[in-house]
Amino acid sequence: MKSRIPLVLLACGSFNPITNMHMRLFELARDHLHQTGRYRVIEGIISPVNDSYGKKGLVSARHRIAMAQLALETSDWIRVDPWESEQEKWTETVKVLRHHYNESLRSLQFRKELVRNNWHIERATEDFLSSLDPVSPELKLLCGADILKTFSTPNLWKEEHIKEIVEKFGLVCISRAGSDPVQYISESELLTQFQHNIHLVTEQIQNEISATHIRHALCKGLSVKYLIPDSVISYIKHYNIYTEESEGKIKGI
Amino acid sequence: MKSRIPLVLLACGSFNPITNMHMRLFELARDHLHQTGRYRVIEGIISPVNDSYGKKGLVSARHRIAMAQLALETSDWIRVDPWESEQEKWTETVKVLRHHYNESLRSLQFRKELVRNNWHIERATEDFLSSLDPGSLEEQVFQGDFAGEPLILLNRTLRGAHIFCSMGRSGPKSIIN
Repeated sequence: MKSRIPLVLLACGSFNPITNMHMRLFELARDHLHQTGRYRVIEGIISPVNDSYGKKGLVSARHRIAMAQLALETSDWIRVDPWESEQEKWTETVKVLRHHYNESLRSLQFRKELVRNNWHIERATEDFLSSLDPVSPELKLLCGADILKTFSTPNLWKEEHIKEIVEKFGLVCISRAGSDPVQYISESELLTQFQHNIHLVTEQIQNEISATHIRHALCKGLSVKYLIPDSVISYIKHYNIYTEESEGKIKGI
Repeated sequence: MKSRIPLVLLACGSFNPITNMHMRLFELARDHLHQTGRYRVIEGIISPVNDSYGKKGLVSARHRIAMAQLALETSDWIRVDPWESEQEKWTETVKVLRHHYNESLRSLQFRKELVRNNWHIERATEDFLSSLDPGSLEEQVFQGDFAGEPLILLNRTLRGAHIFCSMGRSGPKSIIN
């Protein structure tokens, strides 16, 4: 078995609510990275933004985390992490990346210690042993290609943060067929310098599910079945979120 | 309750395999038709094409039907119908439409007969009553009316009580006697 670099994918965002498209990004990214022959994707992490981000219509993190958990019940490799939403205030993306990178190192270190001390390990499967790679896992930011575009928006990102994100971590950008993210890269010196660490994936299947449209549809009482998981639809009905009434309340804040 | 026209949606195609998009078409159509205020969508039917259609890569109808059934498990109004796939050869779309139209008429006729003959009806729910389409019930209403309101007598004993239901212009009302 070739020695592939273990890789963790991290997606930041509102997830307001999580949709099938969000989860498709992970599946597409994993397939693409596996096809390069260089990586083995070991985990996917969804990190919903902190409530203090203050975006209009953003429902409480408690709900956004719960809905993501329901949606990810059938995934054996993607999970939702509440760390970012539990911080006192909004955390810059690069700090979220650093946190999760350190966590994955810690977890790797822990497993190495177990083996080193010959402690009993529940399942010494091939998967487990290969996960003890001497190579540290890489953590990459998973995003839509529109994020690449925002790198050039003045004052939105700190220059040194962009540099750390593309140099130390790396990006996996999913774009729709027809759009041209290569252009965004060539327009930026920084992105051009680290383009080897920006993986571009084109989504061939039309998938225009936007959480904004989902919220609007829910407000109008229209069906969103087959766009977000049934379990998330039930949750939304049960807690009465994304209704005209509840959206109105949030706007009033 | 306004008198909306009951409507059935039929989709023909390969469904090779069924996808979320196929099912979205039904949801979108139903929402749209309901918003016109003129229709009440009572059923959605997916009709996978016959194997003899001969399209390259078309998997056996047995599988396509089974997959559609699995996909539609969580839908309370859309179902898959194997009639088209069970015919000896490929059936033109208009014939599939005719078949399902006749089936829906037959089904309505059956329910009218039950009511006309005062037969026991399993579930005298509001859904059932409204599915009897007030528009078409008027012809039998003259067989009996009570205090000026058309009356349908359902001889269902529910917990020892007889349920009399009236189907008036204002909608179904049940009076438990």
